[in-house]
Amino acid sequence: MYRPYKLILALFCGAFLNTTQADNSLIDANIFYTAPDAGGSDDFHTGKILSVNYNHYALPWLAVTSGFFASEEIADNTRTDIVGTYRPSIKTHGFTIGLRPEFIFSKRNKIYGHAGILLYKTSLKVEEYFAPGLPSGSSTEATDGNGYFISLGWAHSFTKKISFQFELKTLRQLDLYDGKTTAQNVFDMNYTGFSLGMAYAF
Amino acid sequence: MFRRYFSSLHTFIFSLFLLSACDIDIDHNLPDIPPEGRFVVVGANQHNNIGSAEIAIAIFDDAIPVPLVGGDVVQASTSEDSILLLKDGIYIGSYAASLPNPANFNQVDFLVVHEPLEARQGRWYPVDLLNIDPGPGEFVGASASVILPPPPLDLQTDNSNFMSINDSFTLSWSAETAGDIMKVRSAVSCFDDDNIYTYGTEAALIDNTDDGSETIGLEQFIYDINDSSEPPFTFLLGQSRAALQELLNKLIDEGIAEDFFNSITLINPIDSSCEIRLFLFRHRDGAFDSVETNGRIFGSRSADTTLFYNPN
Repeated sequence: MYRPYKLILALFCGAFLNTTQADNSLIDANIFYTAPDAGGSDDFHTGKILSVNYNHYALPWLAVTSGFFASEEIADNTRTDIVGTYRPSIKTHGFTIGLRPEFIFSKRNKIYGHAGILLYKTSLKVEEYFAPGLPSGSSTEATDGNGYFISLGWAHSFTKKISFQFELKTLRQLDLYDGKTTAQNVFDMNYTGFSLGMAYAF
Repeated sequence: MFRRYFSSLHTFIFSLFLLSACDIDIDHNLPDIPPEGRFVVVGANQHNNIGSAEIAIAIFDDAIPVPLVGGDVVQASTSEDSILLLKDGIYIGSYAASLPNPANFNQVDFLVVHEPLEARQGRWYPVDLLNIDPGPGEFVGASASVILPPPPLDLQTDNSNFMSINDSFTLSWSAETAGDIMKVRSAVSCFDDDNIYTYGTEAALIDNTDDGSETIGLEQFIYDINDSSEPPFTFLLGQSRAALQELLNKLIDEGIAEDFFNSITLINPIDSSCEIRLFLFRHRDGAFDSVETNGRIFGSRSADTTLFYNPN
């Protein structure tokens, strides 16, 4: 299920290889601070997602981007119900492709948008404890699929090549566990927050 | 080993299903639990003209509540409907649910089942994929049943407006001959110009037999806060007050406040206009299917009427 997306990504990147030139590319690395939201009774803690993007400027104000993201394990609240005490956690990684239009409003500053689609692989893990004398345990299940992201950012150049960037961002993974569970158990996972990063132009 | 207890059962059932309904502080455990051994308490009540029965159960080991865990859960059922007791009751380790019973079936059966997925139905993630199942526990398979006695129909009083706590009235209902026990409780609202004071009482009856008639004095509901002597009734506190609150919540469509017993403004009832919501309960013992089970189990049905007290 993952292979078609990798193929699309390869074709996407390859389409721009012959146009890549010095000084019209940008690599940025960001730490995205977000509390995932599954849309139910979940209450995830804030976690971090690392993302690295390659941006190729097809026009002076528009870059085509591709990137990779990977999260740490982000925990939901521990809670107790009639069955036991349990704690879900989530870990995700994937690829993105998108567009990054920019508006330069001063010599060192610009604002930009960043939007596109993503391919994800996400794992949910649940650890559960029942009572003394009963075996506790954990269970992990992975799923993959696609989604989209959109962000609005500000970039400040320290030098001609190095800049700092700040983004408000939302990332949505669609239909987790579709085809693996019943329809009412399928859900979308939203990641909304902000990111801080550095970029290098070349 | 199986012994039947009857005292305070009716207070238990109405209190167990209260937990999520109102904000009443319950700081003690279910009364009359033996300090040693396993003890199971089961109850069911259906109020007249309400299409569901309130179900509750608790299990104790050496007076300590024993939680059902790992997907073990009590199933209550009539011949048409069943429900899992997934809500906590007001006592630690107790469970409660509202069993649909629009056809007013009389028998309610209880069975401890192992339903690891159903028991996790409130969780947000796909529990069918992430299911840690320790297997059935020791209680699975235990069963019991109760018979809900007939509701106390034709509940009437020969007077409904009173001016003095020395007044009395005759409460009448359709008598039955099954030997059931009758109990009277009240939810009282007293008013002055600016405040409302609410409390509950359990009336001390001359006899609690199901004979269709009982003469009761107003002093079983209205009292003087300046009188240092003990009132003849028992205040509904803790579990009993919580229980009656739940029943009031069931009757919310008739205009009863959801936080009836949360009003603590104290005015003197004897000098105030009061509304007395009187509840009559008919109780009957049930039976555990295993003679090894030690505990108490009952079914009941209830009805209510309203009296008014105005000393002015």
